[in-house]
Amino acid sequence: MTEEGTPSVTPAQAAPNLERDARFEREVLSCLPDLSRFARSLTHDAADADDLVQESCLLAYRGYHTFRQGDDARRWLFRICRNSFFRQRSRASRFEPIDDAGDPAAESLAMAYGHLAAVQRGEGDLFDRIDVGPAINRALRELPSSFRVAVVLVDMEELSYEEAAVVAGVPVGTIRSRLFRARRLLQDKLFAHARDAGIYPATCATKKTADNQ
Amino acid sequence: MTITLPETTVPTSAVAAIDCATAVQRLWDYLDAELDASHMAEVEAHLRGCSECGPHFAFARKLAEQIAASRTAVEPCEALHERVVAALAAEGFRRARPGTFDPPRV
Repeated sequence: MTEEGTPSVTPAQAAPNLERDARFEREVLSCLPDLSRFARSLTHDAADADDLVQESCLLAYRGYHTFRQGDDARRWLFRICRNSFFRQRSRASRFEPIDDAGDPAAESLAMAYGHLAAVQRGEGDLFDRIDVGPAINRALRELPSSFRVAVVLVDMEELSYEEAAVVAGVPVGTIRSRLFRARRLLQDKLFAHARDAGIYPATCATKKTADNQ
Repeated sequence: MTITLPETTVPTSAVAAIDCATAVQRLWDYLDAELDASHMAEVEAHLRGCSECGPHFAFARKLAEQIAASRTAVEPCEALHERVVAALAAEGFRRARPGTFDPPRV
C-alpha cells in the first residue's frame, strides 16, 4: 500500500488471520466513537458520517499490514478518514478553493486587533453574555473544510501541530496558518453573531465609538 | 482543549525582553505550548509586565476553551458498530467474540 486507502492486497486475498483480526478489533474498532465524531465534524451529516466511518474502517482493514504496532491507531484512522473525505469531495467536483496564504504571525496580530476593536465597541464580555457553543458549531460549518479540519484536530481532538499536520497530510507551517486563520474567522463570526442576535445594541457600539473619538 | 501553560525553567536573567507586537505574534504558539522554553519565558515575562496584552491572551484562551467545549459527544453506537463489522466480514474479517458489542471508550 503506497498510501492510506490504496491497498495493494486485500485481507480477503490473504489467509485468515484470527490474531490480526483480534488486534484490529482491539486497536482500531475501539476508536469508532472518536472516528464517528471526527467524520461528523467533516461531513456535518449523520448518514454521510456513518458512510465515511464504514469506508474508513474498510480501508484501514485492507491496509492494516502497513500499520506499525505502537503507533497511534486513532491518528492513523483520522488520516484515512480525512483522505477518504477529500477524495469523495474531489470525485463530486465540490472542492473548495483553499487559501493558505495567511501568515500565522499576522493572523495572531489580527486576532488581537479584532479583540481590541470589540473591546472598544463594548463587546469584550462576549463569553459572559451568551452561550457561544451553538454559534461556534454554526461558524465551524461555514469554514472551508481545510480550516475546519485544523480546528477539529488541534482544538477538539487535542493533537499537537505536528500530529495534526501528519493527519492532514500537510506541512506543520500549513496546519499552523490554517489553524490561526480559522480561529480568527471564528472570533469574527462570533462577534457578528452576537451583534445580529441583538446582544450588543447598535446604540452601545455607536456610543463607544463616539466616546473613543 | 484544556490549556495548561507549562512551567518554564529559563532563568529570569536569560530572558530577552520582547515588545507587544512580538508577544502578540506568538499568541497562539504560546497558548498551545508550541514554543520552545526560551520563547515561552519571553512571552511570560512580557505578560507579567504588560497590562495591555494580557486581555488579548485571556480572550484567545477563552475562545479556544469554548471551541473545545463545543466538541460533539458521540455515544458508542451498536448499529454503526455492527454495520462496520458486517462490511469487514465481507473482506474476510473474523470477529473475536461474535455477537457481542463491547462499547468502546468515548
